[in-house]
Amino acid sequence: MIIEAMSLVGEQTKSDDFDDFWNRQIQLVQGKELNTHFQPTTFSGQKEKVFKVSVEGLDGTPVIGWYIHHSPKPGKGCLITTHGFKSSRKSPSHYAHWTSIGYDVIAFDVRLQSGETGFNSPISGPLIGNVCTLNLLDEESYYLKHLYTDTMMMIRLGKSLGYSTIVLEGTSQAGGLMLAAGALLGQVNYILANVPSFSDMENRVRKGTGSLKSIQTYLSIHPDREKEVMRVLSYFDLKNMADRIHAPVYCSVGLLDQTCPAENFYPAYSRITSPKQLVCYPYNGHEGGSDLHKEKELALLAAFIEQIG
Amino acid sequence: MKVIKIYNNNIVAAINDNEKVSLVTGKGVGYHSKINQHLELKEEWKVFELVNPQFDEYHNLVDSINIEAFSISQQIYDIACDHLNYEINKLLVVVLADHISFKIELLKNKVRVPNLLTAEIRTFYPNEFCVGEIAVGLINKAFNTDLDSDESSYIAMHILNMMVGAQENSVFSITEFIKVMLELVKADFSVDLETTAWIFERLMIHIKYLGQRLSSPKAPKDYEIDTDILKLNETQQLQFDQFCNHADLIASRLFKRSLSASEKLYLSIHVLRILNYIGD
Repeated sequence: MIIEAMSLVGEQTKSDDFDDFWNRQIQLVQGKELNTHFQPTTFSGQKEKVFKVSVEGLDGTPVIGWYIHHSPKPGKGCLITTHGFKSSRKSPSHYAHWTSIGYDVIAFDVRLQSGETGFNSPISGPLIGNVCTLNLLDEESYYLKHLYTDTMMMIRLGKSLGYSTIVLEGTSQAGGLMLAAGALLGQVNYILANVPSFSDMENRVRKGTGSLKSIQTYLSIHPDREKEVMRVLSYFDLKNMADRIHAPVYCSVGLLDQTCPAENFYPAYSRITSPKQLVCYPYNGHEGGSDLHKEKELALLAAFIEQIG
Repeated sequence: MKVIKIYNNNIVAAINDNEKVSLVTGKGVGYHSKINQHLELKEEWKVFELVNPQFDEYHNLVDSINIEAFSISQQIYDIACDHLNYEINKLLVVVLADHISFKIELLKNKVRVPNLLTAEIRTFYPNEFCVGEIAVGLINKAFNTDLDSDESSYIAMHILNMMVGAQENSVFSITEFIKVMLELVKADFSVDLETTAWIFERLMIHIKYLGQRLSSPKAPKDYEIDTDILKLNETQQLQFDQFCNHADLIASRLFKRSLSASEKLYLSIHVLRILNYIGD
């Protein structure tokens, strides 16, 4: 069943200007001033210090997060992460497992969800169901474009803080964002993504799974805009950018996942050409391997950090 | 420029025709150089000019540089430039290298110098303090030391002093000014300011800007102003007059300058906003 599913490669849906579009965005990200603001925060961790940090997105929105670092000596690497759809970065203690194996952590709030990050850009599109429809008809201003470029800005933040080793980690929405940012900007040493979103988006919209249900609802109201919507979504589809990933990738899926179905991730996974591993949980849904998988990730990253010294 | 010492593949010391000694850093600069030979500078290399020593002293100078401290200072300078939205004098690299070398020597002799301004630096200059924290991590890692937040504050102060346009050591006066002024607002208006509240942060930033202006050697032009715009009643007017007089005394003590009428108004407006906010 797994092998059968993994052969579902699916067609790429790239527009002709896909690479130009993203190369332009990457250039903007690389040229953007970080305009960082740090605020020391009290934290009861024994070996870590915490700053609330904000970095400006391309449109000037302060993207807010935690910067957790070891003291008196820094961590051996920096792990960048964020949260699942509609959630928030939570408290610094939420990342204690990563710091326990020697990583410093940057964890940020995705725009307009339950955290502190807002949205400074004009909103011209519909708001049906959730934020995934915001500015849906224009790839330059579409909600997901900001999420992808914000994640790239976080990689820049990690680099600018002096880290030579950067690991991206995330689940669901966050897994998709990490794979996208790792593919587009690169400059990372490992990507860990669980039950990732944002792959094979056309089919996900047709089935109305997870956060993309709102786009299905939009198209039920405006069926004449399907072509336009699918064209915009193609710029953000992991299956169209997975071949740009150079870092090793460690992924997981739940074969009963109805939110980010495994079969929609395979078209992206199959196009990753860097060293990769996919762990399938046949009896699990969107929770994937949960804590059991987290332990595998911890073992993997602990060994990786030892290996790089 | 003539090479006078090769530290490693990426750092050399060189002297120019005016006998100014510089450290030149960049990929392969040491690998391709030979002592006493001319050094053709490449665009991607960085040049850090040191003090202008007597000609017969420069060997002592280049021999005394702790090159590991210098490399870390360069990293700290790069991190500071990325995260602070003002121009920083490149001399910071040399100043920090000297500071770090000295600190390491002190630690070897088990001497620790506390920083009495750590709490203020952490609150008033969080960005610089964070750069200081990262810097301390780099130093601790490189020299196997356990420097703490006191050291982060020292580094933050060095960075602030190297802000292009800043007066030497003005950070001490400005930090003291912010601290005393905030105490004055609390005392004169009987308000309790939570240091974590955004309104406190705004007032602190305005006082910091005022301190920076006061530390500038050139007094800014004063303007004719109408203080009635504050719409204060008689009691409030007396209270604000008294507050401005106190602030004036503080400015005189710390900066040897009186507050102009527009500076008093500026200060009053921001304090009034706090009072209105708290009163809401």
